[in-house]
Amino acid sequence: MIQNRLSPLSWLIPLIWAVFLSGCDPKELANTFPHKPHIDQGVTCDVCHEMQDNQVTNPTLETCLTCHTLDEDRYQKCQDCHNQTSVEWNEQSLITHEKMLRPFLPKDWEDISYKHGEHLKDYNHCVDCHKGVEQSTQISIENLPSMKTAMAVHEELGLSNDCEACHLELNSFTPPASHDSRWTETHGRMTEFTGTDSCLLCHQEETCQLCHATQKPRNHSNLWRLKTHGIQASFDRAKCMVCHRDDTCLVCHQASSPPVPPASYHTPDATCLSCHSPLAARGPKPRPKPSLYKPMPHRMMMGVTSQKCLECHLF
Amino acid sequence: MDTRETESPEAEQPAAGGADVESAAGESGSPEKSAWFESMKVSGTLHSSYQFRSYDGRDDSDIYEYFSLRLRDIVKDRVDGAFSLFWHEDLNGGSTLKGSELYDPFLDIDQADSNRFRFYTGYLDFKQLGFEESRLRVGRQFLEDIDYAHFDGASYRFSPTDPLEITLFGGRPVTFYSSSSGDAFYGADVRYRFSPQTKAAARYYRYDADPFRDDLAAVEVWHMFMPELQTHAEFSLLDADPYLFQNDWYYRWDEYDFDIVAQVVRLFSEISDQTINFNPYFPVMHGYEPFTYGSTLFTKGLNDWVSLNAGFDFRVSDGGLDPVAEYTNRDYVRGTLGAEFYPTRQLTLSVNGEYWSVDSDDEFTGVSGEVEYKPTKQWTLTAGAEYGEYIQEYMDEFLLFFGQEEVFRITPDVITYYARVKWQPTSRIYTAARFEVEDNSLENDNWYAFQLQVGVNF
Repeated sequence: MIQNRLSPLSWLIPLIWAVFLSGCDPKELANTFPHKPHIDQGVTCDVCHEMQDNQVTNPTLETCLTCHTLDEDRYQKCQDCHNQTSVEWNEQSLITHEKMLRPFLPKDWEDISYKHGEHLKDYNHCVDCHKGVEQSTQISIENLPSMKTAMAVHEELGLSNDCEACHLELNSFTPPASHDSRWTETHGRMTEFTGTDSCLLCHQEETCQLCHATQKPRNHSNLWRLKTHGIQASFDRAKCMVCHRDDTCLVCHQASSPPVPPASYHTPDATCLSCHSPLAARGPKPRPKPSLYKPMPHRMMMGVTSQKCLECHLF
Repeated sequence: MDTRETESPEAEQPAAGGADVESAAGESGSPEKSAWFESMKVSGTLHSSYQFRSYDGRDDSDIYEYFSLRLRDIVKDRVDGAFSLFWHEDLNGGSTLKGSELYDPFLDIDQADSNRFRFYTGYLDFKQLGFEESRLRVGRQFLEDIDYAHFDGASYRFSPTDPLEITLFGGRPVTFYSSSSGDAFYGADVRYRFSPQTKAAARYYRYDADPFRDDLAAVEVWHMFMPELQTHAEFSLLDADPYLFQNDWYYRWDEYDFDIVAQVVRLFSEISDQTINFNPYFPVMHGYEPFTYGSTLFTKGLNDWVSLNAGFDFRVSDGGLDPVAEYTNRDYVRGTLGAEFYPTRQLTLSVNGEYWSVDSDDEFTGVSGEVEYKPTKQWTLTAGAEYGEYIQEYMDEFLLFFGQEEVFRITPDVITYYARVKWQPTSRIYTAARFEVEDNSLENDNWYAFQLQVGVNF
């Protein structure tokens, strides 16, 4: 059994993480392009992002060179960044920056099929989805539309909000990859990060209740229900509270009392032996001094009514 | 699981497929009355479940119903509503006690409760009251941001400026099995999103239930360093004393298809007579003494068709409580190990194991395996087995009476076989049937169960 001396480990782990991460600035790698000065100069979106085949393209180096000159300093800037990301840089290649932008995109975006041409009435609407891009000094996920934004725009444009409208694989029959066979056990932890907002993109508020009210966890077997759940409740009852409340114990135990606070459970109509049977007889450890209780040959009394117990045990 | 093409209520989208309901008032053409119900969209869920159990020559039949209703735009962009209810019925009724049995073998939470209805939610949302981004929710509701508090009352959520969100709330807590008469729950929550990656919240709430009155204050921070690396931390005070610290981490190492979820919890204060009954650390069985809890969960994809997972968690109490309370605050360590195989897109095989060791000598070992076959989008066939073995120690009080403090070890074990068929003919309708056999060493006979579920999302 682990000892109390392990306790400091629990503090060290986040500390180590914090130190490890303090020098990590993932934005640095792609912190190369400021939209703001370009837009301030009156450059409209379509100057750099041309529409081709219903898609908005990224600028080529040639596009940049219509205004800029590729002097030594600027060339070095490009090289610095490309060296960091091990991306081969070719003066003639398209500047898609895909590999550098990739870390900023959520993994689930691989499932997205998106054509700008279907959405844009004109280029004045870019900032409806790419909010804040006109003020941005670096390329960031902050300027990409969230699913919530995308759905609002779809509604405004009269486009479908069905899953298939944007997702290649995900739909009401095919849940996200994160929803694997252990998802029923792990989804609660993940909502620590996401909150319930992301759940509500597909589910309704009541969905939580639907499962938590009607679906029992796998380990809630009949043996668990009748005999062994009290063991786990003795060390890990926080998990019970995900679905249950403190008064849930009362529902069954007011008729069959467990060895817990007498004021709550040792009511006059309690049935002692259903709980104080040998299975539950170990009780607190170390046990109270014998002088504090009056041991009875309980096994001999199996099958009798609790009235017999009440001859000695007063509530 | 309920998946559908509807979206966040906050996005104020119509429920896909939701029926438009025209009211009589709308048909009358009166401008005032037509505002109500004219553009209302109705959606919801009706879930029905029938369960049959058989044991030792006796059987039990129950039905469970869950119904939820969501009314959007009762008044367009102004009023929404929601309602949900759970209802259960024991079709057999009466006791099935046999011989010297002390309790009904079919007794469970639902059957033991004389109140067959659980009224989960029933509220109206009044939007754009005072602020454009606001809603006043009145009625029975959950407050998911605050320990999933369940109460009858009102909550007012508003955003005076875009990244700032404030919620004021108050009411009477809901308890299904006991009285909360005279209890009260109220407080405030403030959230601010510094950037799409960083959000923070501060909250205060108070719970009154004679003779206790507890104040809880907390600060909470979420930060996404990048999509692959996220963290969440919470620190709270209970009655002005340090109460709870929790820190969660998520990291995905894309290059190696490796996920880590880690959590640390520290309970600073002894929890004994507090009133916060919806809080996980409410002292259901004696008090909680200060403890440290830690857990990690690793998931590793070996390739496109195999993934492994492993977890470890522990709890260490500070010690010092009286023996009775100590018994319900036991230390433990737990380990889990699992694997999933996807030989084809239609087939999934999973194996999971779990072991925990509880102070001082109790143990549990569990192993489960499952095969899931999905020949089409609509059909899912599952078969599996689970095995669990408990090791528990106890002192026989009969021998104790004669001065023999002998410790006995019992090892109840249970094995369950099950098969499940799920059919989802459309995205709105689902049905499932499950059959299982449970054999445990402490019972005279096997348990047999059959469950049939039908649900519709409308």
